[in-house]
Amino acid sequence: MIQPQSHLNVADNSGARELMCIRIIGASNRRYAHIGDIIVAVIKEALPNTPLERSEVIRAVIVRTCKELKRDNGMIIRYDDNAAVVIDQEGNPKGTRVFGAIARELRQLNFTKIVSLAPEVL
Amino acid sequence: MAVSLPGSATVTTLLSGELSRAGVNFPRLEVPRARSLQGGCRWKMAAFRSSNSKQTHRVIPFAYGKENVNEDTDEMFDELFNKYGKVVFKRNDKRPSAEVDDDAESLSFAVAMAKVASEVKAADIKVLFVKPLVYWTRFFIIATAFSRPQIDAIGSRIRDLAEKKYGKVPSGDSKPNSWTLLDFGDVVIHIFLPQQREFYNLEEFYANATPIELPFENQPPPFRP
Repeated sequence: MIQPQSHLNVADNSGARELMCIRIIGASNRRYAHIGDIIVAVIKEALPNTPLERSEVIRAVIVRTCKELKRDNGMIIRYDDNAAVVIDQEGNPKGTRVFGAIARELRQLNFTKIVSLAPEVL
Repeated sequence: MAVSLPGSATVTTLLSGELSRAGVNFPRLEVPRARSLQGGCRWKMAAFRSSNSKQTHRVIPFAYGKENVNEDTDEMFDELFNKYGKVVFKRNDKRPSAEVDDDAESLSFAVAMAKVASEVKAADIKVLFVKPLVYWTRFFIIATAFSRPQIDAIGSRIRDLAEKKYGKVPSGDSKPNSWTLLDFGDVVIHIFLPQQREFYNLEEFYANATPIELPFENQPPPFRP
């Protein structure tokens, strides 16, 4: 359940450390974003000497949420943090590796690039 | 049932904090350890019981007061053991032959796709068998194209052939992109521009996968000063 003003961790090596959601892409009046949604975010914290800087506005895909993700078979997945992967306008990830476990729903939502960079797919 | 992942948060922050893109070797995917097989111990139990049947007076801890019944079952086990040899019980849900068939089918599909890509002058084509590393697909095809029109050409040729000959429609990118991905389920095709291929370095990430020999001549990566 990510909404504007939510802070998220960054699950890749793009150089950003922390994001703040400012808009959810999709319907005009959408309240919450879940795993696999694209958000517009601002970088609140970034590593020095990386292409991304603080207060830059970027797009990101949510890959982990504290809010449970329910599957049709009854399985529920809940992570310890809210995390996103920074992407560009074309949908390519800005980093080269993704960290931590990722849900397989991302593949159905056409984020196979992120899935193929991830070390573990649940 | 909730599957929470303790530690994923800490790992994430640690890694993204300390690793920068330049000069750090990223971990490769590794083959998960094989689980111990079930059903291997059943014949031992049968053998143990059959040896007991000769000494009927010994009390077996898991069959108190039922020695007659026990004798019957022992004979039954003896009979089964003589009849079927070592394996008395086998799991029904294992069908290795079907799995091998599926693998062979995807392999022929992957090689056909790689061949089409090489006909449109894609360079440095690699077919990797990634099934032991990731569960979600079987084969990766990684290829380099030198311009977006070429990526478009490779993508549309692959799409046409897959649909006509194999009846498969890919998901993934529909427009040519600097990293174009075509997802056929069991086979995932990555077409890169040379810069992006170097940047994402997928081959290194999947270095533990077995490369497949291709039956046609592969263009080597061009030398760029």
